[in-house]
Amino acid sequence: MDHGIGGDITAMRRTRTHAFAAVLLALLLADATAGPAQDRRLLSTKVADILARFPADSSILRDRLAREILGLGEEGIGEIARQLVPAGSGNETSVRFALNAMAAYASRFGLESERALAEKALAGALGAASDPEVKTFLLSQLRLVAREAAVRAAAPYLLDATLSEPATQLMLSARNMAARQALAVALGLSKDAPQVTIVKALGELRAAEANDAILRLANAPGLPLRKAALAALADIASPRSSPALTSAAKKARYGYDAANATGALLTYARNLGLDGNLDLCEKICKSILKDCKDAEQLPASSAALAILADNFGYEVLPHLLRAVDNRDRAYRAAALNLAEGIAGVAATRQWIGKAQRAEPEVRAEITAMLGRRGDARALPFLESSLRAAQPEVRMAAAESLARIKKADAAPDLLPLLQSAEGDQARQIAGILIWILDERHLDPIVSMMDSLAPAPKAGAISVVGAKGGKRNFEKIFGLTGDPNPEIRLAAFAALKNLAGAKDLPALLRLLEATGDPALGKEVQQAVVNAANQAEPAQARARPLLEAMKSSARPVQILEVLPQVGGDEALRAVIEQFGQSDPARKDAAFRALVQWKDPAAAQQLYAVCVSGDAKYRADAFSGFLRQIGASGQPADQKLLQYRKILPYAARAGERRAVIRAMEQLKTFQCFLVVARYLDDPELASDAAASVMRIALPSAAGSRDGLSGAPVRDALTRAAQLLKGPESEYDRENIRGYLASMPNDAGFVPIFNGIDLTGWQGLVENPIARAKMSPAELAAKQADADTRMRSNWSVRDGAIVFNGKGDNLCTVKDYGDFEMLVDWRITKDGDSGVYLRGTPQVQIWDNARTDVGAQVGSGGLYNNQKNPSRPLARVDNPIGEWNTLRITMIGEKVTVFLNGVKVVDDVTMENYWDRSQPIFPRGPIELQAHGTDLAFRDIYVREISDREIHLTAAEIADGFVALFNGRDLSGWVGNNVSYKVSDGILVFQPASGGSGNLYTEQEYADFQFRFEFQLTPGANNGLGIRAPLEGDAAYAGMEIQILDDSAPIYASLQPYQYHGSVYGVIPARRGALKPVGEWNSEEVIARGSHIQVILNGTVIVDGDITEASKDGTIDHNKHPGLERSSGHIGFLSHDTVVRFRNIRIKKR
Amino acid sequence: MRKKPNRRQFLKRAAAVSAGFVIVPRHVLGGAGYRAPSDQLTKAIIGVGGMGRGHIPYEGTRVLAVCDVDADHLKDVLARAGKDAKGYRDYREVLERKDVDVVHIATPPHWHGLMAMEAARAGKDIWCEKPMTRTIGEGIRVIEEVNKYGRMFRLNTWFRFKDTFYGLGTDVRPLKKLIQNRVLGWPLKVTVSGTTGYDWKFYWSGRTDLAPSSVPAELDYDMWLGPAPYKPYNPERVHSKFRGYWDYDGGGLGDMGQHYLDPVQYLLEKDDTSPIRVNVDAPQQHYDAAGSWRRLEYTYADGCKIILDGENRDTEAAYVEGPDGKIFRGFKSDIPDLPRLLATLPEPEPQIEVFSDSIRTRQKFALNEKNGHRSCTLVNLGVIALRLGRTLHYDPAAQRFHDDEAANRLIHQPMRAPWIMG
Repeated sequence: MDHGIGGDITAMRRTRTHAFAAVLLALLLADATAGPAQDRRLLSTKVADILARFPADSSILRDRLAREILGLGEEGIGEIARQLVPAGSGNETSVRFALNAMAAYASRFGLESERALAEKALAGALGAASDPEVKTFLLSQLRLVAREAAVRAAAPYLLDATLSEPATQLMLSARNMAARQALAVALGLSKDAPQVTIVKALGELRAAEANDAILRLANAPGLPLRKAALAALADIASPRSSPALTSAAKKARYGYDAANATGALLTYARNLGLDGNLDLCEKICKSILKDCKDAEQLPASSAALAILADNFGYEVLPHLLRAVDNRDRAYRAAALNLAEGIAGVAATRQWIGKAQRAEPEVRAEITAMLGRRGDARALPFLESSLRAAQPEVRMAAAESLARIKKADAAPDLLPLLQSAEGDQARQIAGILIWILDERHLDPIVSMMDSLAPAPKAGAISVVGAKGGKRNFEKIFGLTGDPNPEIRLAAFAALKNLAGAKDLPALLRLLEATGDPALGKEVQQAVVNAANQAEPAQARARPLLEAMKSSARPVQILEVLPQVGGDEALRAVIEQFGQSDPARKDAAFRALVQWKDPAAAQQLYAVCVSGDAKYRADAFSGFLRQIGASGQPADQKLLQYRKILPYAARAGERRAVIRAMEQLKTFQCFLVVARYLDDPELASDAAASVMRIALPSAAGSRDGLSGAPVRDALTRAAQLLKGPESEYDRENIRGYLASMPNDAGFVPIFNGIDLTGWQGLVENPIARAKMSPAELAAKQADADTRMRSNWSVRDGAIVFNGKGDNLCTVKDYGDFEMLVDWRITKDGDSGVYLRGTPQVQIWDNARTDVGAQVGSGGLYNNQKNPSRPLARVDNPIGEWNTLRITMIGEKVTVFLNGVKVVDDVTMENYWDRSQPIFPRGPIELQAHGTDLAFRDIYVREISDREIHLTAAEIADGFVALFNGRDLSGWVGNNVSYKVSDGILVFQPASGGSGNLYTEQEYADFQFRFEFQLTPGANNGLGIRAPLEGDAAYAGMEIQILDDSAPIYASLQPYQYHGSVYGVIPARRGALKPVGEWNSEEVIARGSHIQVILNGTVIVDGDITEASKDGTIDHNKHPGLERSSGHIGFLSHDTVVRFRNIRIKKR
Repeated sequence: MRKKPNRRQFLKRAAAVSAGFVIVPRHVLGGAGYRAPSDQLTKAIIGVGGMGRGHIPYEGTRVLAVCDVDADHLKDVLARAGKDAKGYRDYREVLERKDVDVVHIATPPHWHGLMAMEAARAGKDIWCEKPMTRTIGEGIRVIEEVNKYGRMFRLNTWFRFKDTFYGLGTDVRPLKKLIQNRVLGWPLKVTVSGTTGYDWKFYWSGRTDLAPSSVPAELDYDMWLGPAPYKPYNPERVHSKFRGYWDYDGGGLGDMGQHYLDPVQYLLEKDDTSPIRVNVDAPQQHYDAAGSWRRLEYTYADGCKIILDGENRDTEAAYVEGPDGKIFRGFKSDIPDLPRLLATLPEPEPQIEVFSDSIRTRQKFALNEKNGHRSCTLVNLGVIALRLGRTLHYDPAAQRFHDDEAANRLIHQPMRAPWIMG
């Protein structure tokens, strides 16, 4: 197809300058983004269209919708607001979302005309509304955009008992002169609750004009009004209010009272200061300081000091100096905290003087304040205070020096440490640990020998805390010190100092240490030392050696779980087998505490043994270790199912259910759902079933679906108990209503008998050649044999080692299946897909046949990979889980949660010249040993759902391209080929024409992905007939590498995404050539939208755009068509397409 | 028999032996017998629905008063709060009691600011639940009042000074050491997501179509609402559901935000400032009910960033990363020999980590009204950005938004009379 790109370019080069083209482009783009200027839809239709799109999924979309709403004008906004009904009385949520979107958008900086329109329209709606809740909502939205118009509209409601509060809040948001005036007028007319509301608001607006009216209310009998009046007077801060506020505070004795009179006076003083009325501010504060003496009045004094400090700075110092003479510590502290903020050398000198004269307690407090204040000129005083007689002064000085000098304070502090006793030594050590690092340790270490016990213990703790590894020997030596304080400190320091080389010495020390508390310290040091040794797998060896000859091997046993490794585990298991009860106990504790899941199987063995003493701890330890391990969910579930029969109590079964719940898989859902029938556990299981199946968060797409899920959830809803259950039930109902209605995973084995299964008759090719009668006869024979070889036991299909495969009666095309399997020694089996061998299952010990690679591979592949990517089989005799997906020829396999086959083509074993059959039975392979299969589920993947998300399926999308062939398409099936799930246009392949959908579509959402090659040109025909040039006979949505140099001079209506010749697209949203783009085309009547990679590039109306002739000046009769085919319009370049899906509207 | 000293005498005596130096954290001091006289302090707990009950055992202080607007809550809690505890419905009567030293505020957040201010005026020290205040404006006022009246304030989250920090496998101390010594370089980016060990608790999303319903007899709903705008009662609004509504809290961000963000603010040395920009990626939020979101991004003036990844999208995310290194979940790092390096670094400045020490010494608690206000501002900036659905530009000094009148209107949200913030 050619619609004259080349010709247009040449023409343009001849006739137009680039500048002109740029102007044209700008105009056209502006037009495209402004949307349809004269959309002919009815207003009610436009409103409905807009409301249907709320709530918006992003701010960008919300703003777009808001612009559309504003584009409807006052009348349209009123139309939306008229749909408001009181909250909870109907589904008006989208209306509220819409109005909120408009108000929030219009409140943006710089959108003055939008804001004014929103304000006007909402104000109009407020007048038109009748319900008070609706009016309250409108007032709340008006607050975002309120100026004078909103104030005028809200003013009448100030006196309304129900609406005065929201109307006042609007006034407080607007904060303009009109609001103050409206409130002042309303004050004169108000009484009761609205009066309180209005007084309060006038205060918050500092409405001086209302001051005198409010002053008259300062002694009002009602407490709320009096309180509001006092607060308002304090806020307005007129000098005239001083007597009233002062007398109210005096009446409250400057204490806390319900009318907050004291607080109001203080706020008043603060505001006077802010307004520059410093005299009155000072007078009030000073009179408070003078009058307040009792303990209950000290908060008021503190506040007065704070206000003075704020307003007078250094001049407040005399008050602060006096305040520290008060015997109330909190008051002194408040004054000293204010003193911190008053800088200057004069203040420093005064505080030093005060400290020198003060009682020791106060001197210590001032000393500490000087440190926080951080003036270096106080250093000489602080240094001299280190030698003060009182310990609290010395300590405060030490801390202050540390604050100001940091690490440089060490030389001052070390002598203090030297002479310190008891707690003080510990505290100085604490300060040193704060300010020093490892580089500063030498002076401490060198003075250590000369220290008395308490300082020495402190010094040791500093070395320990700072990781002075070089000093290991020295500290280690002190573990033998006769003084217990020093010994304790040395033991505690070891863990930070120990390196790998110190392990032998530490093990000797451990052996020699009888005291359990000290022993714990050494054990931690042993762990740290051992874990630094290389290679990692040999770390436990020295410990195991030491354990052999130890008199207290339990001490070593106890640390092995933190070191770990195979050797250590073997040793612990061996110790657990010993008869000595202390050792056996210690070994068991070690197993329970093992740092990784390596000991879990041993704990399982303990559970199986039923040992009364250890079983319960082993059970919970097993659950914990599996839960904490990094194993995939499928493998964890197998482990949980393995331990489940050994649960002795309902509590243990409940713990397993909770552990399974964490996995959130379909299979754990099934296992937990079985407990819905257990009277003891039903309500726990119901809650777990709910938590597994429902999405993890609102809007999340990880919920489970399908028939078994629907059934179990419906049952669970009835079984839920507890205070939240009604809420939970409603959540379940809501989820069930929104769940996709597909069958999902369905069981193909009922757990009881072999319904749905039959015997094997030869192979698919041979079967296809048989007559129906012949096949029926052979099938009857095969079924008879099948019944003697295959049976059901304990909910599993078992094979007795003789006979042929077990086959599903039904054939399957594309599907995902789940199956658990178990084999015995030398076992060899497999799962046939579409009647063809096979996903391999075998005993990995059979190296003679190559089984060491593991199970899960596509055994009979010759050209494509046949080996699994990893060997993840569980031990023989244990269950394994296969998860197999087959789409087209491609197979993906997970074994025990690990991907072992990754999208590999499965070959046709029966005839290698042809691809795998499109459909066939699933078969369980018979191969001469005992086998078992359980929990077999299949989810059929319909062609209509290929690549669709759950949300798209739920939303009604269907796939138009099955990824295998051109079913559903007509036209050029030569140039359009299917390769690896992708639809490729190959121009050189000799075909001609376009490729169209079989079906016709009118209004729709069409989504697809495409990949361009350099200079590529294609097109998407919509509402097209099968004949003629789709660009004119239908419509063409351009698909084009418009970045290519050959298209440098395109017309805007030729850009990628344009409705060709009719509505130009925005440029700039295409990904670089070679990357996949995703595009959505929405056609609704004459309204066409194109969204490329999330950006709207076309949003216009074809009727509007063509009413004065199209921009390309060509006739487009196709614009009149209401329906037609969708097609790919071929040019001569390679383009690829995939994930093609559509929703009819 | 020796007479037990009464409480006031004890406090005085305790003060005499403990001037400034208690700031040395006790975990470095070790040793036994160093126990605060906190059992001599008294407290009142306001709001004993969910969080408030947990405050009964805090610090072993004696409970003299419990207060709730739900008679059933009060009855339940009085049974377990000890023999000294008396029940109240109106917190103002609690504040009038002269024998209460500390007031614990464990109501829904729309009450926090007002009660903290009033408690300060009544001369009480304050132990307040997170988030500290429901608006930035209330936080500014709390700072002012607490300081003016010389009160001690602690916010009830603690990860900046103790406990293993969600998925980090460590407390915050080693991270702080690395960062303050610039081992990771500067500026830093902190990512908070499921990948780094956090949970946004989007189940605190509100419902969008609540019908009026009758108020149960045990609940004083008007008092429960207090300063919040009047909206008809529905059980979804109150007990254990209130977090889903902007009038009272801010969804999962309100619930968990300050827990997660306060330590980040401390690590980034932003205790006295706020970001200059907040970007938000979220579905449109309902005007009344909080919803989930995809991403919040905070940027500070020096280029430090905090990413809240609501979708747990970046599965390779480090918790904190700078130009020179990264720290992942579980304290894993790309920095070689990290434990050894840590041992050589100076410690962060000590903080007071036990509130009774703060009360006794009158020195600020590690997480107090000032830095608490700044970390709560992170939450409230996020809430405003979500509600308005746009990027916000903030002036951390003036604590106002640039060029955004509507956002500034959300800094102070008027209280319903007769409740007054003034």
